Amino acid sequence: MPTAVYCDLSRCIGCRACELACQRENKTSRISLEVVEGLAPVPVSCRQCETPLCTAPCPGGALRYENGRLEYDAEKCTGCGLCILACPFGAAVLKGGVIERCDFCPEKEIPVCVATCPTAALFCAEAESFGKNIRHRNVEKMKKILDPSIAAGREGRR
Amino acid sequence: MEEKNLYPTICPYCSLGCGFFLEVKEGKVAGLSYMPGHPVNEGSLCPKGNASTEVLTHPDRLLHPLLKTENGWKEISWEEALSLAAAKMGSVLQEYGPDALAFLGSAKCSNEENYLFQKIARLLGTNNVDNCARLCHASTLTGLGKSLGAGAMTNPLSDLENSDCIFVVGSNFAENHPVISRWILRAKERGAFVIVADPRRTPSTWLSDLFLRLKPGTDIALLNGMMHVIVSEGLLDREFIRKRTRDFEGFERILSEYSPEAASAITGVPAGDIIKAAREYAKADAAAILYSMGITQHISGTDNVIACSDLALICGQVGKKGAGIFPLRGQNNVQGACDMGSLAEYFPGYGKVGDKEAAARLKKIWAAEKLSEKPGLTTAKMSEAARAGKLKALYLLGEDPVNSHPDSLNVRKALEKLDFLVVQDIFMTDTAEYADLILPAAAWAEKEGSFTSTERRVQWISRAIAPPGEAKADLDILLGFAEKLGLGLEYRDAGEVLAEISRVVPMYGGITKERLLQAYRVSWPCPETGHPGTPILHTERFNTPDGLARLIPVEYRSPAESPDPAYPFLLTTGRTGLHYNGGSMSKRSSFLLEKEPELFVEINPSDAQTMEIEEGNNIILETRRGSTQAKARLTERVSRGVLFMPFHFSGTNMLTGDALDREAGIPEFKVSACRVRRV
Repeated sequence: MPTAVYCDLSRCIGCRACELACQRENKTSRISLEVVEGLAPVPVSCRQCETPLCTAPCPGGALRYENGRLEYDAEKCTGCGLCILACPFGAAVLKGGVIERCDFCPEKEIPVCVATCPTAALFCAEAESFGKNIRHRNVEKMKKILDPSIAAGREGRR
Repeated sequence: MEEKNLYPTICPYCSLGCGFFLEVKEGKVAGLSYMPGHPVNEGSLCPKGNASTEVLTHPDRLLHPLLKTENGWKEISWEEALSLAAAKMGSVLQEYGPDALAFLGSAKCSNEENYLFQKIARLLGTNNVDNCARLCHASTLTGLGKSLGAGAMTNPLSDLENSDCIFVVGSNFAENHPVISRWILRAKERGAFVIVADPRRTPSTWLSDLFLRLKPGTDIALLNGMMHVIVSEGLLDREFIRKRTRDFEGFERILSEYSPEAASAITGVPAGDIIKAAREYAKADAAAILYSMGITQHISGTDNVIACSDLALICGQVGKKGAGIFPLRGQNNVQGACDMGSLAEYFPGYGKVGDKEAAARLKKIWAAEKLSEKPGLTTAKMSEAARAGKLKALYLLGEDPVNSHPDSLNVRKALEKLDFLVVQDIFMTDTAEYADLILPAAAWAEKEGSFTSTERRVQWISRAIAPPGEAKADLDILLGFAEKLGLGLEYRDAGEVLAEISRVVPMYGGITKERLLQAYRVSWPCPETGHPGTPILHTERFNTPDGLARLIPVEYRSPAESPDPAYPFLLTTGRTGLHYNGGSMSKRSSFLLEKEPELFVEINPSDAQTMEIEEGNNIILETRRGSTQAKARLTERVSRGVLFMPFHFSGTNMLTGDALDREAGIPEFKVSACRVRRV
């Protein structure tokens, strides 16, 4: 399974620090935040798909999926923008005729968007691992709600 | 790769005091790295922090002293500039006396700079010295001062993770102090219940378990309503009230008027929610109250603060882990500027002007013959005095009153009326346009000094790079100015000034440059060398003469202005996540500006529909003070009848009024009656 930057949406406050950090590091921001109905913030960056739709229409072969990861060769890019149309997440961005996509900040220990996130909502992980984490967290939550010693003090809570 | 040096520094924007590293290559800022070891932000940074280095490298920086002439600005030498400033201020002093001079300090400058600034003012014979705390948390100083004996945050921010209930009132922390969300979420992970009271639905309310949407300016009714529930259901901490507070009897009586139903009628919050909030807060093992400018910027600002404090006191929620009162302050050194006495009515360390003993102590240390015993003019009064022609000369340190003060048109009139205005800043501002003389200053990372964050954490910033052009550290400029005035202030560097501060300001007694360089953080009070500092206040006794906190009854009063048929909307103001205050820094960040480029006004979609206003329309807003234009943003964030505008763009404060809180002198930025129409 691919590793990608994911967001725990229950923690995100939509502050856009991730966008600013990415922009500072990479000149253009490869993560963008949309707020749905003024209530739900959703940061989106390249999902690092295993079967990337963006590579399919690429006429010059600039975007390829090789060795378990998405490779991009800017010299072969024609700037046609078909990959942007193909990406179901709207994560690909064309800047100055070149596709900008998340490459996990190779010079940094962790991607800057993850490092800067004030609420620790963003994390970089394999999809498999965080599914397990979420299940684990929910079990912990249930345990707290059902614990009679805690429940007694907080009648009618949630 | 070329060598990059990392310099630890503290963010220059808000008051949280987040740490990060500046990457410096060949004497120039090359980037920014995070600091996972910092206790406040653990390496994270908000959008403004991420954009902070743009301030250092910006082409708009002021590079030379500038003199206003008939042909525009003329570059002059430092020698000429400082001689002129001293000569002009000196001649006003000779001709009209010391109270024709005023000094507006900066909550963006270091403790040492603010200390020196107010010392210059006071040695010249006037207490006309103030800072922008007057506009954000003056009511915290007066309110918490009266009830607890110290107008400061009681616990460290990271202690929020130990709270079982967090009650946020009048603070949009998720946008204005984003890093606090980290600690609130950590408390939530432990099962804490979060209550947010705000007229607007904001990212902060996203994190709440209970959202109380109250009408602007009705905070006391809400707080008294909660206390009514707590008293009538017997949820109070009787032992705490008996042992640690005074005056409960008289206090209890006033609450009878504020049944949840009565409070609901005033606030618009359902009575059931008021009851639920009261029970959650009172029953928690440790509960914290967070408040900010939604509480302080009202004509009842001091009373609002007292009501918060009363609530905490009757539940015994002060002076222990996870329980306390958290006023979230604005500027990076607004706490320090106040501690240093950059205030019209307080000497350094909060000795009252007029108190003979406090004056005598100061006179001895300063070897001054006499100090004025008359409290000085606060910011709003300075503007009034200038318009009346009583104030002749003003020295402005890193402030932009044209944009940050209420009723801008009157501020502009005041600045025009002055005989002499000197502005010391890092950028040209709307205020500096009125100056006779502009002095170019160094930004935070271009100088050294100590800064005190909202949680009373004193941190040292070392110089990482040289200032651009001929710009100089504010401390050096002030020392040069004092020398020209013949005040005989001789300090080699900021460390020497801090050494004097530790003798003058009792809670800084054990704080020295050497100590800050080693640990680079100590929480005051730190009264003597070797003292570990005090992260949590009031654990044993309060800072009042008898050690007891005061329970002070406060009554709800309606704001100075209410909507009426001529001005049917209630306009409230505040900040957005991407800009900062007057915007002289954040609006120079291309990154921030591109995301939030212009003045907007939030309006409820159903109000907009009635007036045929569509998303993005330019609309004209008018109040009794002035009018301005802004882009309409249709959103359920505001209720019907309420408008919201950020105050980062010039225009907003053309609308706000200068009705003041009686005790604190803070203007009521949060409520204005307003009308709108399409362009």
